Amino acid sequence: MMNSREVQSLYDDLPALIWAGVLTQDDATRLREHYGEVTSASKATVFAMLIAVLGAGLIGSGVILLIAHNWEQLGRPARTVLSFAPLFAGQLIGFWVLAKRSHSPAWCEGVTLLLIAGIGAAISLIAQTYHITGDQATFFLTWSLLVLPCIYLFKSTTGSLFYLCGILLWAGFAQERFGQPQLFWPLTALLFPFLWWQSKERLEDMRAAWLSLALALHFTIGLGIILQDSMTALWTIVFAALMTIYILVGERLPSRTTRVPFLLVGGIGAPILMLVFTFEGIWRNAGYRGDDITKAPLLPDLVLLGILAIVIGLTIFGPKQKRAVSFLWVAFPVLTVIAFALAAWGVPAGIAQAMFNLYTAVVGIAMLVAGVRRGSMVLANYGMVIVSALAILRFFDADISFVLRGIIFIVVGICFLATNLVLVRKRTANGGAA
Amino acid sequence: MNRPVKIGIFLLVALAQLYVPASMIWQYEDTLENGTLFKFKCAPVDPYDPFRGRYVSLRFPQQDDTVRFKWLPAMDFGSVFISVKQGENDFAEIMDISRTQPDSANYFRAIVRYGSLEYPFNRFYMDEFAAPQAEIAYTETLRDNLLDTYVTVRILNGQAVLEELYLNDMPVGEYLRTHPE
Repeated sequence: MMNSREVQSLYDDLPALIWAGVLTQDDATRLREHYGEVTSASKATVFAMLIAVLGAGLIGSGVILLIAHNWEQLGRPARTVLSFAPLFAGQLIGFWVLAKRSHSPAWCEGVTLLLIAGIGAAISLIAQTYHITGDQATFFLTWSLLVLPCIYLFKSTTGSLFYLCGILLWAGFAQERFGQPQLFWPLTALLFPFLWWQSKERLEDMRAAWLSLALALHFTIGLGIILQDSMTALWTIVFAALMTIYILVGERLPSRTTRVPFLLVGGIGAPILMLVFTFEGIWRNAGYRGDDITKAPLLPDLVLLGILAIVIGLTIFGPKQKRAVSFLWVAFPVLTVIAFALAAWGVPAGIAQAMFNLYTAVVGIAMLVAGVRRGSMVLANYGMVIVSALAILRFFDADISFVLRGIIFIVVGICFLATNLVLVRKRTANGGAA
Repeated sequence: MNRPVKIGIFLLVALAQLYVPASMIWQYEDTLENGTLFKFKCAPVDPYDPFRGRYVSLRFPQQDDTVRFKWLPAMDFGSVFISVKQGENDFAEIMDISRTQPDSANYFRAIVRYGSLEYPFNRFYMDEFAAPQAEIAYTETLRDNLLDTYVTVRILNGQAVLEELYLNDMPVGEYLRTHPE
């Protein structure tokens, strides 16, 4: 599916194509009817929206600081009125925006930010007035849930970003205070209809990119919080699968603005994890060794199964031309499960370590070769960075003897040179430059 | 969704947004108006909460682990109900700490975290310049063992609201005004 920039580019090319005889005028008309009007957010509109958001935020903050200066002299009734004032003002503006300016992203984002600040200020100032310690988890949950309807009413990206942060903060505090915050998943799911609605409206501007990035980071950090108290080293499997999902999902999303954030988070997270897994210490204490398996929390296992099912489904039902690369990435969580199982059954952790060293090298080389074949410097450099990072880590790895390191480096170096020689001879035989 | 429907929904949302802080106020005002007065001896420290400003962090001798262990020895996380009665000069005396809600009106809920008790009134919010001065005042006079520091708390049906912090039997604001050094 083409985004608005690509469609506009096609429209710009149409006169030249007609003149060159590639298309007829009728073909061009049918193309225009098929893709319709190009309605992308202009740079001016995005700029106005950002300025509105910044302006509303600064005004709200400034008013709060002025009130704070005189706070000590005010009695409780005056403080109560002032606590409600920002919220009430935001709501009045909200009514006006819905009545007169609901088509303006700048006004919608600005008023949502004002409401976010107003709600937080009202609850915080009242808690301060009555010296209420309160509970951070409940505070962030209440704040986020009161903002949620505004996200739908004003189609607010700012509100969505705040909501995702609010739920993360709630999860963090709830984890510390009450144990596993299992409501994290349903609370996050409350935003999904909005995200689905926005994707159907084909948001091609920066808002879609920000939402995608926020979602990718939201799940990464949220899982980290939820899995804190789970079985030792279970996070290895879950995060390996999560990063793989991001890469597979990123490859399949139709829009570039939504695709790039997932590929970015997965593409950076997966190699980092792979390199971490090349250390023996990660696998030394994995599994339920010595613990009563019936006492293990169930939720991490369900999360794990769910994520693995998604990974496998995306690979099996994905487009054929992408499967070779996809299988390489899918091998990551599969190998992690194998390594985890081996470590849990008491197999020396060195086996898992060797497995990941080999796998990481294979991934790096595969990316490098794919980059060279496609002529993509980004992909080639990506593979080169992975291989180089692995080499540096192993070079300074004191757990491996000098002799063994030396032999491995020499053998791998010979393999690289031999491969280079073969490729050069092949190119020369095909008539290309050496 | 057409405009009148959106405005109607936003009206409901706005009422909900106003209701949450308003209900907090109603609850606390009711406690301050009708609650029983208790005094709690304390020792302040001075940290900062970015959402609510400068506050004096209060610790109470009754939060000591040995006090809790007398009633509930085996508990790392959770909440408990603390029943109190007025002792000498209205200072609070703990009658019982339990995991179930007591029948008496004079109780409040406390959090047990890492085995220690956390009272719901452990912060006294002050002007950001006065809070560190309050801590200094307490620290300096503690050497001479002269300062009588306590807070007054109103308790009603499980709700506890902090009323005032006293240094040497004076409200903290008044103490700092009369002792500018």
